[in-house]
Amino acid sequence: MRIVILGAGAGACAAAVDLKLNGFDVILCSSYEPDIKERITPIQARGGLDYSGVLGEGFMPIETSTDENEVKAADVIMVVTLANGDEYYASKCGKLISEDQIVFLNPGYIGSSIRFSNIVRANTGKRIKICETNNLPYISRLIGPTHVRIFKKSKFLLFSSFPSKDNDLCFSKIRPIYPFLKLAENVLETGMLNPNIILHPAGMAMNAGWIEFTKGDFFYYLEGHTPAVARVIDSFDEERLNICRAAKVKTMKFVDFYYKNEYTTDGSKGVYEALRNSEPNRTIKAPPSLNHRYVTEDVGYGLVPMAAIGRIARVKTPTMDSLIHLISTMTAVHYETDGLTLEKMNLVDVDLSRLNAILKDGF
Amino acid sequence: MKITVIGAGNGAFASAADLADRGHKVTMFNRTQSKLDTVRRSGGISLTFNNETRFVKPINVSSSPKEAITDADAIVVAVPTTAHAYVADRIGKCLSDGQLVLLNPGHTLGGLEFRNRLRRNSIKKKIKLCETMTLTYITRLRGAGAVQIFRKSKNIRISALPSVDNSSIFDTAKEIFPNLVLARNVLETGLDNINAICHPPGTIMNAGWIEHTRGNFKFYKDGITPGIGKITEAIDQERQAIMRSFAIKPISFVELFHSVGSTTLRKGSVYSAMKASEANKTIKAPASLDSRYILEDVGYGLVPMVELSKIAGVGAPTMESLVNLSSIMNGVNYWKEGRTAKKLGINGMKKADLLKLVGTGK
Repeated sequence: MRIVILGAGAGACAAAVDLKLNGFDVILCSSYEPDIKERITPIQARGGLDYSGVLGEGFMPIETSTDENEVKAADVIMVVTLANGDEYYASKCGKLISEDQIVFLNPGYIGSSIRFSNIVRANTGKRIKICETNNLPYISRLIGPTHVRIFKKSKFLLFSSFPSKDNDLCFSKIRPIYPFLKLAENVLETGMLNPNIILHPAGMAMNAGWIEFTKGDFFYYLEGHTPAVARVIDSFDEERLNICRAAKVKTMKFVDFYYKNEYTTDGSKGVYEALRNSEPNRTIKAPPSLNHRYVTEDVGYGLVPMAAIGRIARVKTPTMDSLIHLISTMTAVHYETDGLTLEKMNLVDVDLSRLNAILKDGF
Repeated sequence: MKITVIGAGNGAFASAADLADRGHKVTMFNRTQSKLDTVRRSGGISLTFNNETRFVKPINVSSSPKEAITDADAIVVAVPTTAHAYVADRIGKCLSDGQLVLLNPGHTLGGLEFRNRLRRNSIKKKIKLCETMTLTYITRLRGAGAVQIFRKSKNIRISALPSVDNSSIFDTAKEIFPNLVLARNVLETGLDNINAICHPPGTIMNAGWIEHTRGNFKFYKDGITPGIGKITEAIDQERQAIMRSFAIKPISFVELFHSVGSTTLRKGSVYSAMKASEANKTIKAPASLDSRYILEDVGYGLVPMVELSKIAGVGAPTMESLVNLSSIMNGVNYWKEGRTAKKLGINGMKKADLLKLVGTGK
């Protein structure tokens, strides 16, 4: 199976190494200028990636490219970018993708597949097969231009396609890559359990001064997630569970998901205890500024559409709304309008039953 | 003048010492009497002001509200605003016609809550009730029976409730605190409550830092970063919109901060005004989130401001977001525990009703 990985960040590099270790035919491809300069060129020069961490240590030869035409020869096009990178590749690659291929967003956010599919359909008229996970399967960081360290590989993630009538077909193709995937009902079930959306925004808002003053020089989870901050995340998770209940979307508590993935040894209490007992997150520092993916991605592409789904489900979300408003205000970015709105997902004036029909059969 | 000062914290000690120093006949009274033991024993307060320390006396201490209130010309209430209702209940029946009751400070609408308690308790005495927008001193207690006044703040706004009494209280109020200027009404003093504008963003958006270090950083100098300054500015915009809706000409937080002498900058960003604040530069963050920066400034500051925004018919989404998050982080519902429209006796009122109430008392 030929897999083209679109993207060149830590997640894309971790996926390239992992998939090659498992014998897949992989090419790492990015046409995005900053990626080419900072990532693809050095990896090309080195002929591959050094890796360390839970997958072992070594050097892995990796094929690379800066030409999107590579996607034509792929069985699976795996997109491993920040959430706003989806848009870029949807616009760039739509005309190159055939309806026999599978686009795999690894991970999706809320409505990522819907929007990718909408962009391709609007530009080319094609109805592609697209699917997503609820989280990147790796906790990884680039510790040098060609060295990826993998701290953790997931044990349990959700998977679904959009529309979900393609679930069986897509799942049969993707499951061999990641055997730990569990098939979800639809992409709302995957998106609503994206842990980054639940975890990141509250910590950013409630440590804003500390982050700005020290440029993130403290342990984000271990020190920054005090009982008060964790209570806000607990309340956020409660609202998310209420949305899922009202929308009849199967889900689980955040702490249960965290425990299931072995990110924590204590999932029996609240978020505070789960984070205190999280070995993979122990040494992770806070971001150096507020203009970071914990905000740009997790608020703009996560929290904003999640609260919007809440409105469709007629569930009150004061914690989510307050975080969106305060984070928008402190960063002077209007995430309410600049993020992934219902309008951008073509879901304006859609009620729950219409939403479920769209998730199953598409537009 | 015979003045009774109620309270035993920074503000009460500073008021009592300063008033006695300026020749008034001062009596102190407090709920927890032991906090005044040293004054009772020594008959005065050690006052440090302008690099000079001296013992100010006589200062009388009373343990009975009747004795403390009956003969006083004026009563200065210098307690946390969370205690205004308690004080009204405790001293209400001892008040007599014509007495001046000055809340220093009223915080946001302390006077309205005080008045509402008196009415609920069927106290019909014609007192002259008034409130300042913030404490008239920058001050801290310095051990038992001692207080330091760093600065007597300038341009502190005061208004009577109702404001039709403004001209009749102002001369007396200035005898007590010379640095006062008249506000249009208590909506202006309440909405000029500087603490409610600058404390909640700095506390809530630094919640992790405060809890992890027990407040071991400089709250204004280091903790009010550009991002937090923007939140403060957003609340300030909302506050000004409420004032405009009530036909009060607002001045910005930075101008207010400058007018009371807290910063050298007259305009510019909140962030730069804080950086330029000599008076505040060494002040540490509160040691926990269960501090007056939240209890008073959210519960008795932002909550009544949001209530006013609803009557004014203007939005206050930033204030509401801060009340929501502080309620969750502290596990206390400030929308209920705080100074609600109901506690103020103004729930369901239209804008015209409220303006009439603060203007004429009817």
